[in-house]
Amino acid sequence: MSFKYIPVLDVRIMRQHVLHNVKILDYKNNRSDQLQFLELQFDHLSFNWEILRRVEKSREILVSWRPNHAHPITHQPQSIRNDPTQMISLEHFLDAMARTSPDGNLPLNTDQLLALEHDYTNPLWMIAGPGTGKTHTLAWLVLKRVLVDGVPANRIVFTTFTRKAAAELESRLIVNRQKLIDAGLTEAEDVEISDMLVGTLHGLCSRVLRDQRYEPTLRIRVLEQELTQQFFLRRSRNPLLQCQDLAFWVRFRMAKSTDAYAPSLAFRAEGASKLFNRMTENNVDLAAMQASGNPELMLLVAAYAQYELDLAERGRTDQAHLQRHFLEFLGTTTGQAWLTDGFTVLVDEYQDTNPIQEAIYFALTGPRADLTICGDDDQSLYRFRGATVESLIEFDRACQVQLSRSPTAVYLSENRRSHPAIVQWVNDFINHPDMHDPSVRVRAPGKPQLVAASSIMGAYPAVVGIAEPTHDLAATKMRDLIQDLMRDGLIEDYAQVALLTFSTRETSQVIGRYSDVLRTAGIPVHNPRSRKAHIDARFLALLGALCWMLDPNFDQARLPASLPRGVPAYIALARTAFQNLIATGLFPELEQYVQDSIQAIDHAKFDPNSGHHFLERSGGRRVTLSGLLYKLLAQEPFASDLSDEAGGERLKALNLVLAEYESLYGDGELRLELDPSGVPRLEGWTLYAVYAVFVEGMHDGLNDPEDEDASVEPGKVNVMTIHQSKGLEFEVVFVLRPDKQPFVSDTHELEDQLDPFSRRSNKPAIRRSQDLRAAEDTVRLFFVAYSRAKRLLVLTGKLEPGKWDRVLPGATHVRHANDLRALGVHLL
Amino acid sequence: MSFTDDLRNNGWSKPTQKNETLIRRFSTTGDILAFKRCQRQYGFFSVRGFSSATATQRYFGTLVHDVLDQVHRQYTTNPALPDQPELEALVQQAHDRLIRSGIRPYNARAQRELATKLIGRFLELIGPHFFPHVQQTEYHLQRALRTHTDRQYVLDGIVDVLSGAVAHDLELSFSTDEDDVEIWDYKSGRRPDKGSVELRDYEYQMQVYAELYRQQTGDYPARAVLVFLGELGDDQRYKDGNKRRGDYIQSLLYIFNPQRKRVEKAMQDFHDTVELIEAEHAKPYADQWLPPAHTVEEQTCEACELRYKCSSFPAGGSQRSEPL
Repeated sequence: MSFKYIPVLDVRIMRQHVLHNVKILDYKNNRSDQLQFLELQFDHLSFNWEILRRVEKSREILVSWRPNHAHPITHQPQSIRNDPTQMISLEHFLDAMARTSPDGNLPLNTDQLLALEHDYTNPLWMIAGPGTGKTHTLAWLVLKRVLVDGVPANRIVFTTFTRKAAAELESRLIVNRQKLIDAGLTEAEDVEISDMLVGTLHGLCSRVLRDQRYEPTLRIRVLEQELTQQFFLRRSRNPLLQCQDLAFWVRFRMAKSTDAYAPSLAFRAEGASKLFNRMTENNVDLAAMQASGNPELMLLVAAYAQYELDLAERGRTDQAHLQRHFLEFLGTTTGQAWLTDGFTVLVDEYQDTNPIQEAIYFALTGPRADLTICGDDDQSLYRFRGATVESLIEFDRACQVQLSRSPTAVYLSENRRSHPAIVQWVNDFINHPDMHDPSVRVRAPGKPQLVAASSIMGAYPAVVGIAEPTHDLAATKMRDLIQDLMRDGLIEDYAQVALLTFSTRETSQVIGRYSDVLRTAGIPVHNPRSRKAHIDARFLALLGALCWMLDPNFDQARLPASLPRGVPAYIALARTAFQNLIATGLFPELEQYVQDSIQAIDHAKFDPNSGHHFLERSGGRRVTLSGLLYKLLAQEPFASDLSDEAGGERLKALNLVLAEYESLYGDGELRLELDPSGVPRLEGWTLYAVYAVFVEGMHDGLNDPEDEDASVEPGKVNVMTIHQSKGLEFEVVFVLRPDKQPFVSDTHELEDQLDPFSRRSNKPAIRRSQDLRAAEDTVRLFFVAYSRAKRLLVLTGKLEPGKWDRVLPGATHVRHANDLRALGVHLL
Repeated sequence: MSFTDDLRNNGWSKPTQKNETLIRRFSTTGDILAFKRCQRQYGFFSVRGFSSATATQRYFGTLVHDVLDQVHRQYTTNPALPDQPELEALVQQAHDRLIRSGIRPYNARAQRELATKLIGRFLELIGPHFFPHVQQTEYHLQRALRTHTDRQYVLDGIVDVLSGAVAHDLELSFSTDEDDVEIWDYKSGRRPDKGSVELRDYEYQMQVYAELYRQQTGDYPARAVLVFLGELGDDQRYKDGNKRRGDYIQSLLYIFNPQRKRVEKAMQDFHDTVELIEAEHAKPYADQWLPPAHTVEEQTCEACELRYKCSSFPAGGSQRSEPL
């Protein structure tokens, strides 16, 4: 047994790695100068942090200990530290932090402080409810890691889910660092934020692979969008695109057994990309799938292998494969040299991590084992993109498997966003019966309820219902309320109001009636994901002009294959839109340009003896589709549209889809052939690809491009999906269509189908049924929607008997009766 | 009583607008120099994200860069420079990668041949004295900076770092010693005229890099060197130049010492450019990214898809009405 006075922080380090049966025998309280006595059993399962935090106020404590042979030292904290003389004490850091606040108080609450105080000796499992300031806490924790724990800035990896969030994180770090400097903490001047690896995981993978010149990914092109990946598949000869076997698609819930035919080519491309992505993300064992002897699984393995071959041959990768490349890089000699003893890794939004990302984070952590994860399992929304909420819920077990140690769990529960009644509503709601299961962790263990701590108070009814017999009546009431709020000065910008729903597609079946009624009343609405860009009149006219130039007669009989269903009608629509524009007589230059271009193709140079017949401009430069599009954009009325925000962004959507298409289809260059009378015209296959791939890619819906910098469009009521609203908050939130019912999709089916072959080392032993997982998903979706509201939450929709029960809190009979009043909802 | 009266009478507090600070990241070449070249082109393609159909300029610079990088990587494992067939293979390999990555050159063969010629001459002329001094290629410079209006931003740049008595080995007319560190950057074109805005902007870029380097490492580099590979394209001059090697190298390289006053001026210029970019961001959509008041280089306009309707390029008007 040994005795020594040591800094309290070192006790924490020792507790995990060196000691057991540590006792604090004595500590000196600096503030009162009174000697106090405490005895504290250091047992990490029942460790009393509250006591230690009080102890923290002393510089030194007297401890006794016995060496712990059960936990050999595998981690040397000293190895990651900067020069100790450059480090500052936690007390010094906290004092400086307090000076950054106008009121001189520490800008952290008790829970957040607990997270900040955590050192790097074991992983930190930060479970943070909505509005509890997790990003705020993480940003301070990163600075503390550098200044107090001595982690060099260039050994820190800090990731989050979106580029927008990553930019905000970096901004916060820079601002907080400056605050510390301004508060007199000169040591913060040496903290260089730009040395840290801050960004999305995809961005991080790209950057490191590029910097390290990882051979397999040199100048590789990432198929960034799902649409691009589908274009790529359409360009390849993948077996799944030829697969007309209905049973295959039924197996993965991508078709119904009652369907007459296998899915269309476009749908097969979409299904194939989904299957391949999930396989990569789950790191499936292809050999085991093959050995299963199941013909559908064997076909899938063959198709996947072909897809990987095509990617390699054409220098492409998809988002999931980029991560696999990175993981493989970490296993190389160069990767190991880059990794050394690992990074200090902090991950935000961990609830939406997929298995390959989880593997990357543990690999990045290395022997250092300094991994901080932060998230909220109740806000996990991306199962359909391969996310596994278990990553967060089962993090303690994952740490045991991967790092042979337990994480410290910290719960952030003080909600500073919402009115207490809204907090109460979300607390009640997340206690939904669908979120309880005695055999499986559906939620993170030990999670406390949210505590209302916002400055927003008031005795007014903050949870309101607009529950009407029809959607039209509900929409009208919603409009009236928004108008009243604005007229009476209760809000000062329409952007303080959000309409959240599960799909922002503006059809009468979804939310078209709600957005239409606002527009009719002159209330500006922003809905970039309405999937309506493709039917905008000017967009159609631009596409129509392009189609006219390339194919004046639109003779489908000369195409080498029949066009996908819906595409001919859409092309006809676009051509008509162009004709209508010309018929106004206002744009003679445009008309002339299109006519001259048609003539130019008729008279194009065509040498029958040459192997290549491409459409060329005078001077020999090949004409591309994008080139033609830009020339059209220089003509009126399109040129003026570019100066208008709505018009310009919408025309850009066409430009972007075309660029993706061109990158896979001969750079958009246009091959020629001779018609029966010997006149040059666009080659049939070239034209077919333009129609069947490029036009097909958008004919049934296209979103407007979104501003990556701005989360919310000012001056307008923002309509967004609940997914899109993640991380945002609004003064007034209308949650539309609470009649949403859970549905089992191919997502749940794929989870079950691939699970037996997943090589994840810490997957849960038991999985809930698909129905129950779908029900969980609906609860989480509406939990996110409800928790966006700061002052007023309005459930809005058509009230049909029993239809709202899945998204209401409370006792079963009350929910089933849709008795909103009994739930405390103020009905308008 | 209306519902809003109910809200107001029962403690509704008027929401305050949140003012979040977003600190933007700027690339020295991709943002600052691109904006200075033409704010309209920069705004449409870099900010608004329109896709550019012509990547010719990017192709050549990237090709040259990738090949030099590969030569260096090979040199670190085997200190020998590639011969002509090996160099051609390296150029072809880099070209293939670029094509696969979606960069679309115009007249790729001619550009490939030109790249092979320029790099070959660069290797022949200074390669043996250059590569032994390379400490690191693609050294990342990144720093959080602050403009005169207190606006913060992050500036990125990439340079090669060389050390040792480089000038001595290259037989240049100034002295260097073994402790020297130099930062090098490459331009694929010819050296702009002395006193031109273009040359000044390149120099500012390197002065700023020198400052970022100082902030990152504690010391200024001894020298900043710009290589204008386009200077090696003239066959006769190359032939003659070889006879007076030192003079010729001096015209290929633009070398200067980072001096505090010049660095400060360059930093100020960059800060001002950041302010101008931010001012554009703040304008209404219709007023953003208009053609610049200053003259834009013809080759910049020729490679720009917006040229058909742009006051910076009057010839675009007639091109607009030409078919196709």
